[in-house]
Amino acid sequence: MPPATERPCSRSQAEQEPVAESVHEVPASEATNDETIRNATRRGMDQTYNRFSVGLLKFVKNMNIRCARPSDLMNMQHCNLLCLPENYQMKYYFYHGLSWPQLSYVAEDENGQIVGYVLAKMEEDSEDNPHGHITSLAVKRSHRRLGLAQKLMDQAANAMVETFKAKYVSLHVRKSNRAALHLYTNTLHFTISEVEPKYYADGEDAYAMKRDLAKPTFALKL
Amino acid sequence: MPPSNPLPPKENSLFKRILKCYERKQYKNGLKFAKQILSNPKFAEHGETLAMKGLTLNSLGRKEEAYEYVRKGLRNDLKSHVCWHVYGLLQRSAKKYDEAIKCYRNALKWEKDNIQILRDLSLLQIQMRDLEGYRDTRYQLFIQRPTHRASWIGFAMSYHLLKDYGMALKILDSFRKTLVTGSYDYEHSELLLYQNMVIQESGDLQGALNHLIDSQTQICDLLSVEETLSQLYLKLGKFKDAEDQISKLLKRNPENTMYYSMMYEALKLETNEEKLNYLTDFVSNHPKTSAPKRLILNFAEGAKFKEEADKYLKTGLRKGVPSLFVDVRSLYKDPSKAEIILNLISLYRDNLEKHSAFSTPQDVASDEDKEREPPCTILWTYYFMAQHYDHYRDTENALKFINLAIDHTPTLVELFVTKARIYKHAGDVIEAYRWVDEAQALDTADRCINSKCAKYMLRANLIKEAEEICSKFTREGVSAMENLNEMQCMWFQTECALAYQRLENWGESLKKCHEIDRHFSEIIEDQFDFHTYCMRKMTLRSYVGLLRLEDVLRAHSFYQRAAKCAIEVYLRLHDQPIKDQKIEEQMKLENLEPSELKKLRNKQRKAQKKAELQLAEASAAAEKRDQHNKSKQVAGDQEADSLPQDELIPEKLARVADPLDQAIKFLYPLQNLAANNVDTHLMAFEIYTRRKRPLLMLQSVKRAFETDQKHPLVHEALIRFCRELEGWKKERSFAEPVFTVIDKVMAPILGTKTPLQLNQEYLKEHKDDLAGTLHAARVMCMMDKSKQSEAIKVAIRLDKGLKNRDISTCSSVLGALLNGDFGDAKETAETYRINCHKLFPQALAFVTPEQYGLRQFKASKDQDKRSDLNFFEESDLSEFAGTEHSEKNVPPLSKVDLDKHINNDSNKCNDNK
Repeated sequence: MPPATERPCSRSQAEQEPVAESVHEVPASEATNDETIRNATRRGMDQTYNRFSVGLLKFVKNMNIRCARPSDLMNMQHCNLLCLPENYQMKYYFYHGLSWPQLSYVAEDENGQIVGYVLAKMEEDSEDNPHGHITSLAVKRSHRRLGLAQKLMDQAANAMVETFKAKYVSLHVRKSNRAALHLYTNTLHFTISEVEPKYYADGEDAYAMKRDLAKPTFALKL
Repeated sequence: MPPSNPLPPKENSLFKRILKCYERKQYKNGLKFAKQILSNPKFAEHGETLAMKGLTLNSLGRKEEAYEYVRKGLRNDLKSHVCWHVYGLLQRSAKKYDEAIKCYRNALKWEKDNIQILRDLSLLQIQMRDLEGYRDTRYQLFIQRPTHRASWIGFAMSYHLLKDYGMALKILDSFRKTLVTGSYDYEHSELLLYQNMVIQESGDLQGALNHLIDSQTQICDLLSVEETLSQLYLKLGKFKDAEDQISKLLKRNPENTMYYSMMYEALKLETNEEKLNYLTDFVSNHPKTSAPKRLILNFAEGAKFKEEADKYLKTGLRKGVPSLFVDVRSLYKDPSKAEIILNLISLYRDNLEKHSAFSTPQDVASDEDKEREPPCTILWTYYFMAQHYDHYRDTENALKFINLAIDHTPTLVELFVTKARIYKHAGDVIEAYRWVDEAQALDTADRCINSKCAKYMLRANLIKEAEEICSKFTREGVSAMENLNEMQCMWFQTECALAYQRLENWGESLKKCHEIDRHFSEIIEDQFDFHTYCMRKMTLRSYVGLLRLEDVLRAHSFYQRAAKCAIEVYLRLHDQPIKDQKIEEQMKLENLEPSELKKLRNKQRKAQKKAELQLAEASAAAEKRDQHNKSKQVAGDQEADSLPQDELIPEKLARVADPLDQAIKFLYPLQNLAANNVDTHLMAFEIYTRRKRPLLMLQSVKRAFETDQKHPLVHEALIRFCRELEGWKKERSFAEPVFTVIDKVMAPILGTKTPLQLNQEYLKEHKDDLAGTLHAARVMCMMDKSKQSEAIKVAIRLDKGLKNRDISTCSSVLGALLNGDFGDAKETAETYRINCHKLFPQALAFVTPEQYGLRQFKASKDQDKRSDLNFFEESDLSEFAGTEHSEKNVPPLSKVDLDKHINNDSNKCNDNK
């Protein structure tokens, strides 16, 4: 199934992102890092940031779709590496999560494992024509036919409109990925806007696709 | 303060150009200008110029020269803030953050208001979580630049991080008053939400509520508003308001299960029945929503459950939802629900086979159920049943149904994956990998199945094959290993590390563990850029989330698994160090005849030549790589910071002089972040036992005991510690106060009991738990050698109904028997193996080496003819069984080989848990 896939981000590409400082790739000596950890407060992973600073309620978990938190980003990377050929380093996920925390969504199973996600952003090239972009969308093979991709995409699109007044959302898809093309065209109302030759690292062309979010026809069945 | 060695105007302008070139990354030009200054004998020793030359060289990757010049510059001008700042930047680029902070502080002594230095210092302080220092620096910056937005934000945030909420809020409030906002202002919206977060964290929920209601109209992140309002109303007991908000949330995203839990609270629904009614109602109004339909099954009981499960399962089977079983699996905790599900599914199967419908024509069922189902409904029913039986480790039935499914549709990837999983659970990693490989071949364009295949290959210790499979989806031009490392693909690296560990390739295993550890270091480094970025973007809630996440990053299961592997390997290297080849050879030489010695020398000379040649090739390649990197730098592509780090060389890693120190490095983060995992303390105990550190051993035992006192390994550790203690006391190995402390801490754990009594008690308490009896028996033997036969009797029980009578525990028992934990027990071990083999016929842990080899051989044979779908017919099997093939082609397995597969503990493979 149907991954929307951004061209894999090479190191140099990551550097082009408007992250203020230079990229540091050599990690600190182990000692420094252990020191940091030792000084860190003792805390479980699940107590870290959540969208509710008030604290989460305990509840029975089943398949669940929700907005992504910083602590999800590593597991989104894991899901991406399992499912898609276009992969990114953690920093690129942080870049999304810290720039547009409203736009990325995850689907988790009852163990809290991420089985699907949409990683999304706003394109910042035009002020008067704001639009969103789907960097990556994946659903694990074991969790297909549940309509997860559509639900994830609808939530992301809704947030783009609500929070950033997006007029449309765009994405790239491999020309050969017919399943994905079908999903985007038939279920998610995307249309092909152009062909970008040799978009992918292996030389394959991409379809650039768009979904209009401004028209009144964009009414989420929420 | 003026520089102690001021330059005349001409040189001074040159110096300014050096600075500009550095900022613009025009390093070559910078060096030219430096040369112009330094070539004048009057200024040849000019400190600041020398320092800047060093810094520029550093950016070109010439680290050693860089240090030389910077240090020289500093020596020549100790009172220059420039020299100190430059030295700090150099240390920072070498990641010596503590040193860099010291340098910046020195620089500020000579120029206390320098904005750039203050900024650099504040970044390091937040990165190192020196929160007090950060606050002080942010104060300075605020005083210096009160008109800058970032000054206010950083100042407020520094108090927030120190939990001084009052001060943080005061600053934020004053700041907000200075702002003029437009109608749509995302950054302002984020600021308001951040302010609200701080109010909430201060504990003033009513204040947070008021603030949020007041600023609602200016916030464009509506989801956050609705979620926060709901939570606040709930906490404040305003349930009617909460209900309204939560309704909005459910309308927005009815698939978020947390919203339902919140709704129960708002509506004060307490009993299962009340929740059930609410959910049923919700479903009838929102028939297309999935989540509540599934939640209903959690709350329904008995006949109602049957009715609801019936609907749910039929829908799933009709649609062919592959995750249907996994989805309902958690209901199996309730045996009555599991039984109902099985009865329903079995009924469907009967009816579908006989009538191609969910019910018989005679049934009083809905008309829909009497309709003919499409042919794949029965397929998904078989698929469900196979998983059902596999859940209970009923391999025979699981295989029966998955084979029925495969006969029905031989091209469905999921079926083969499930068949593979059944074999994996049955303990046959080789057969498992063969079937998932089959699945992979059916859809080579899908990376999900490709990844699964690689994982199963690694479980079968087929590392080369796994890498090759992965390479179908990695970038061309680099090896898959390299690319997967670059992409931080930690699941793969962990599985590799574990496979190498099983293969006793310690060096390679450690290399993978260190690579994973480096990913974590890198991800912690990644923060650096966001300290300034998020303040600009105003996404402060997420930024605080990032800081808190990074503080506990190594709590992630990826780190825990890798660290466990690394520690196990280092312990093993401590116990049985890898001998130095040269010393070994020397020993051999001393026992040789002169003529043989000559032959050997000739051989060695040839080998040496060959090695030299290889070395030359390797270094040529390395040089090429260096040059490549250099050319990149010239192009300004790469910062000096990103120069390749120390290469991880497996041979060196395996021959490390201080394996225990290395293990401790992996242990520290676990102790801080995974203290609730009993393994952490058990590993600590193993390390400190070898170190003979009584108090640290005490600490580990105590923590392990507090975490899980019934754990068999904790019990064993406890008794071992007691025995060590007896020995030390006899020998007076440590000072008296040490014993006093130990006795005092141990008193509540031991009570008045002797280790012997403790063990008897433990055994009695766990007599129906195989894992418990094994360790108790081992302890029994350890304390009293004469009890060997009694201990063995206890350990080798296999009666039905024993807890933990699984492949993993049984192979631990077999391993203990073979290792001599119970004295010489070879014959018992063989009988035990045969008994286990009867119990778990597929498990490789209990087959003879010959059988094992045969299975492997069969696998490789099948590889050759994998296009032939009929290869798994029984006739194929008999073709090889017992013929000379097996003897000729199959090397006999040693005990070591067998152990590898025994250690390949099938429980680890159990992805259901």
